[in-house]
Amino acid sequence: MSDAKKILVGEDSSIIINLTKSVLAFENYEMKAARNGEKVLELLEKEDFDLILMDLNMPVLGGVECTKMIRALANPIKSNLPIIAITGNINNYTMDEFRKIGFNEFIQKPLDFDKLLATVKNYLC
Amino acid sequence: MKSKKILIVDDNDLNRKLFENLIAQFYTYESAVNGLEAIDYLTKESFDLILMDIQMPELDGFAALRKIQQDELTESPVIAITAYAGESDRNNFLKMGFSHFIIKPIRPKELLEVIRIHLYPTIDHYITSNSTEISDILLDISVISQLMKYNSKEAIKGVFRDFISDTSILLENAELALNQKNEQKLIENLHTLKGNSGTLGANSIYLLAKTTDANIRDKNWIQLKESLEKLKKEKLIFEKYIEEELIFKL
Repeated sequence: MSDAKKILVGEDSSIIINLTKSVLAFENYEMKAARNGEKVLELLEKEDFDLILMDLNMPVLGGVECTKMIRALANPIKSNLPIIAITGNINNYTMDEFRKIGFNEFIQKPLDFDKLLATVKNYLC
Repeated sequence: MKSKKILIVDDNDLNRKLFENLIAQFYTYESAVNGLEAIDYLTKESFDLILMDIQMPELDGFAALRKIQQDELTESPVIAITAYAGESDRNNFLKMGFSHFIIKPIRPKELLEVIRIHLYPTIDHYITSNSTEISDILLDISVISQLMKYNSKEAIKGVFRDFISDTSILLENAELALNQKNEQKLIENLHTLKGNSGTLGANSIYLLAKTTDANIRDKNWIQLKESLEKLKKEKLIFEKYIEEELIFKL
């Protein structure tokens, strides 16, 4: 087992997946991507992660529903993972609503990768 | 871009972090956990705006504002954040000298809008509210320099090539969806395009994608067709630019 931190990214744009991967690799984080919420849940069941980045707008199963489902998982390690929302529509939710859904934080799109890395580091140090 | 500096004053860690998160996307900031710390900052540095929670230990927002006024620590706007909802005394806050007050729970869009109006009072905020400080240029070089921290030039150029071919596919899908009047598909494709172009600093495409997105929501099909055509043209211009841009050749 390597001790590199593992991050699961739920995001449907391959451009953003690729960029995020190189940014996270900068801090030696390992990253796996899932293209929709269902795939996030599948990967999370099979593997262990240290943090989840979750786009809100994904096909099949969106980030909000997916996050609620993760928070309801029986395994306390998985259900309590930090989840950071990525969204282009912050105005759809208040901060309280974000927290109630189960997100620890959110990052606004268009993504600022300095910000993204700083936020992730904050949870993984 | 981030030329304005904001002082965030809030004793609640979670709230403060959320403010920081939002504000950091557009401005630089410092944070203080109570009125005393805020005063300390203001005596040492100058800020363009102060965001002040009212209920705090040590020195609350009211007392901090009085101190600021007595000692003439700043002339910048001070915006009160308060949990007292439905107050009859909006006027009291303003009379005390707060420039504005915002009631919790905070709506991110409202907060950013209020901040912007106070920082840039001369800009007609109706015109610019849809394009918060995003200038209509082909490629935002500051985004590139940020990406260069994490990627080689070759990798970045590769990302842009991917972006261009992705954009072609997204636009084709959008046209198809338009012919089928499939609103959901249209929205999905435009969303991805908006996210990609915004993140990569392809501003002119991003702004057009936003307009197109609005056309879909207004069900303005004629305008939408035009917007998609404009996007296709803009994509070609962008493609040429990426191939010729010197920054990638160095």
